[in-house]
Amino acid sequence: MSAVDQNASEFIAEAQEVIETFSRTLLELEAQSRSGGADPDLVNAAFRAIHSLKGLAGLFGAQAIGGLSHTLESTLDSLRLGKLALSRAVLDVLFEAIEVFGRLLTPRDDPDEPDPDIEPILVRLRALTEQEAPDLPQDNLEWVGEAILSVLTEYEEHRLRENIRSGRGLYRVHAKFDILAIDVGIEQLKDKMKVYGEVITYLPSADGSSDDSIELDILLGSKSSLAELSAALAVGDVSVHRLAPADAPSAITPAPPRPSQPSTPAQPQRIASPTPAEPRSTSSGHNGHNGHNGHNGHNGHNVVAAPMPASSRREPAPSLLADDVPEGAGVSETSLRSLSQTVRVDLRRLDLLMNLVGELGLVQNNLAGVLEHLRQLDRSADVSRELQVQIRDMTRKLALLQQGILDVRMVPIGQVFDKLARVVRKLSRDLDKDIRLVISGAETVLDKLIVEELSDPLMHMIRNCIDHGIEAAPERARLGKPPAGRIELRAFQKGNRVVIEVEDDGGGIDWLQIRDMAVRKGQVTPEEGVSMAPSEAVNLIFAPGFSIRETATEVSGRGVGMDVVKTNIAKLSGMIDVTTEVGKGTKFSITLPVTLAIIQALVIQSAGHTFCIPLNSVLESIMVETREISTIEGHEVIILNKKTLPLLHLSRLFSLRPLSRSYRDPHRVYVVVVGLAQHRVGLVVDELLGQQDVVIKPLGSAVRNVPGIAGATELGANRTVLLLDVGRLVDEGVRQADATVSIGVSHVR
Amino acid sequence: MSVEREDLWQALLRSGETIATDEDYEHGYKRDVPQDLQQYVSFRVSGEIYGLPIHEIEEISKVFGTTHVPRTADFLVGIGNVRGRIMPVVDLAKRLRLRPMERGRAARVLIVHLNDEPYGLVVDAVIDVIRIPPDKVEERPGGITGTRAEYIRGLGRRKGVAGPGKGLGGAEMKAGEEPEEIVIILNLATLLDPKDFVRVGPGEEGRG
Repeated sequence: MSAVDQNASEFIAEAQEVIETFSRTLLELEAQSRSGGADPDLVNAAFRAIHSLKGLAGLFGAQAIGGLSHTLESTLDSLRLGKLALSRAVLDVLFEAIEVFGRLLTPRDDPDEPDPDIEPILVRLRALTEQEAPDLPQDNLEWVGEAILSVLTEYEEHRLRENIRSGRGLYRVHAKFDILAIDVGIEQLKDKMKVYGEVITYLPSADGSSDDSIELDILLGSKSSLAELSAALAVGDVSVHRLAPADAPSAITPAPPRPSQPSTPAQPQRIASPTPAEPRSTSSGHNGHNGHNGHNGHNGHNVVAAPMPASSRREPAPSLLADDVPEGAGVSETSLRSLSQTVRVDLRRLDLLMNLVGELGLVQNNLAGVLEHLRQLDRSADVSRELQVQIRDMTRKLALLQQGILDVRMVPIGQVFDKLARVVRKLSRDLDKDIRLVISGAETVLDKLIVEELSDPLMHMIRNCIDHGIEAAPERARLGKPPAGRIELRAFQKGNRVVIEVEDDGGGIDWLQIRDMAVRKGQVTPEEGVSMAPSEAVNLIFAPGFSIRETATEVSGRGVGMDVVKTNIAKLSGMIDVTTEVGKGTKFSITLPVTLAIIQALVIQSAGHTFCIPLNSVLESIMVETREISTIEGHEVIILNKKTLPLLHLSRLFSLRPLSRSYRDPHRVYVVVVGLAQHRVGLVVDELLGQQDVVIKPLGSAVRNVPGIAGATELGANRTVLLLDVGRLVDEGVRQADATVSIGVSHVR
Repeated sequence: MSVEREDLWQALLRSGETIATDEDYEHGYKRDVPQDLQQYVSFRVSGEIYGLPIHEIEEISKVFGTTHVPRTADFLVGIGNVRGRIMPVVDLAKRLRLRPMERGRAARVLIVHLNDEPYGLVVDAVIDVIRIPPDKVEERPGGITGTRAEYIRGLGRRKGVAGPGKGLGGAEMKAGEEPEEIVIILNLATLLDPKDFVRVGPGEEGRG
């Protein structure tokens, strides 16, 4: 049973990865098609992604996904073969398919529930391919050479024709690689060639490859001249030759190298009439002058244009290309390889490793204890010195190990941004608002857990931006704004935190409107409303149940949004801030720790119970004389930096029964000033025990929802200590204070 | 003590079932316990005999230290840490609203799992593994009403064992001489319903 689950989750993870790649490719394609011309490499990448998804689905017996990817693959094949134009309508259906995949991959609670119906999307996909353009009249390609043509896949042939049609010259790049360095060499050459044009195919060379080197012919379509290409590419064992239609096509014997062809790139198009081909000719193609073959021993006197005869093509080409692969097989091979560059690791396994490291840390502490004992014995001074050195070494390595494991958990936030790009696309279509999404910092890394938890809040915010923020086109025109709305999504690292910003150029938030709404709904009293500062009013959007709209809309609902967003961010020990200007737009910024797995904590004691407070929410810890504490309507406050700071006694909040009553000084208390987002309060505690890096462990579902408790951690030998949920406690404190004190709790800025 | 523990393992071995051992957990390996609904681990809480299906129990541990969690129901002893795994530990007597009895050295923590999360259940003593055919389990305890009924999955019967404190020794008594005893089979899902754990704290009155 668990083996099946394991397989299923493996499949889901892998399939999701492929679909994400696919989705990213589509988004890129859409952006390109908007600015004209889509990159054929991208279309091909999309095809390959779905192709491997199909294989994957077959492997795991996921029929619905297999069926959909099969049909989708045909559509994409038509696209890459140019039989189908990449129109907006086509993209719509493709994005729709992504949504369907998403639904198919969502685990269902009831195993008997049938898969979502994929028939509608299949029908739409098929409809696309049915209306595909009739085959264009084919240019004659005989001059390229039967030997080349016969090994091209349908796609490669299509790309070849496309290149010729668009007026590019055709070049054969001959390269020789040392067998040991071939992968590096090919990559380098490929990168260089991409600058000049499109690589159509790689062909193993006929010329006798020796044991320690491999020779390749690469078909390149380029607008550059032979001289330019030669200058750029022909270094070492690389030479460039031009392939062009012959003036005298019947060349049985290889033609001698001739001076550069005068043919313009457009020439091939004009030669549409069938050129009689010599049936026995293995080299009907003609070749440009090989100007740079000085280094090329094999090619020096050979006929440059001659691609290998079909017979000998089978023998050489060790390992790089399977010889004589059936059409299309080469494609699937590369795609499987390119998609599995990474190792997927279950987070729970990492947690396990983390636990082990934590336990090693304890062992190390014990060792340090042993060392102390040893030191007290004079006789073993040498031994103890040696032990000390070893322990120090171990400590260092442990820290590295811990860091290494943490690094594995880090993923780029781009994963979420890609999803959001899809949401923006869909919503802007649904609401008929033209919206440009500008993304930066997608490579910023964050703990996988945080990235996962972020997608919902960010989605909410983006929805709000589109629904409430960005005005409809006529309105924008009236205001003199560009017709297309703009949403910027930024991520960047700031110290040991990551900042994510969502900014729109919409209508902004009118704080007066918010204030009046809140008064009308009774969330604040009219008196409070009068004395309210703009920033306070704007922050009301984070209050539970607040909505700017009077009625719910389908997109962002009835405003359960922002308070949920805030709560979720606070759960990640993050803060959210909003700045807005009416008529100009709104910017939300979220500040998050890079990881949740290990945090710095302040260890405190209250009524004999030990707790940890995340250090990132601690503003300062101070000692306060009891006489400095005053009360306002029964609530204790102190004045700190000329602002009123409400005090909360942890022992009272948690109704802690004292475990030990060793109050050192009845006249003094410790106050830990904590702040999150807009508010701050002082937590009164008995002892400050110091700072420590702690590994956070999740609480099970039973204890997870205890208000004020965020998690647990181990301190020393199996001692479990609770971690405070500062955001929640501050909220309670503020509400408590608000209930009685209307003098405005000090708010940050 | 150790005799009793060995007897339990003997019982387990005899029944052909396995409960994961310390070694298994040391290596982070969870053995698949085959589901056999006919077998139950029986244990004593406040003088009554309770049972849980053997596959719901991962491990039987001696009582370990816990950390008090504020704002939780009184039946939650606290959270404990077993080899790095944090789990809530529940006092079954309090949960079932039975009169608590002084716990002796026979007290154990049953580590059970519900929805892939571990929980500890403190019981007065573990008795043995029994086999109750499904048709001998009364599915719906019609007679029993009140708050406890929801925690009960069914009632089974077993050959009687000795009274409290004698532990497994009773298994060697001659069958037939003892009256049949009722084994109350618990329903973990309701027993460990997460919403019962949180106690509304002083700062919480305002929230629904």
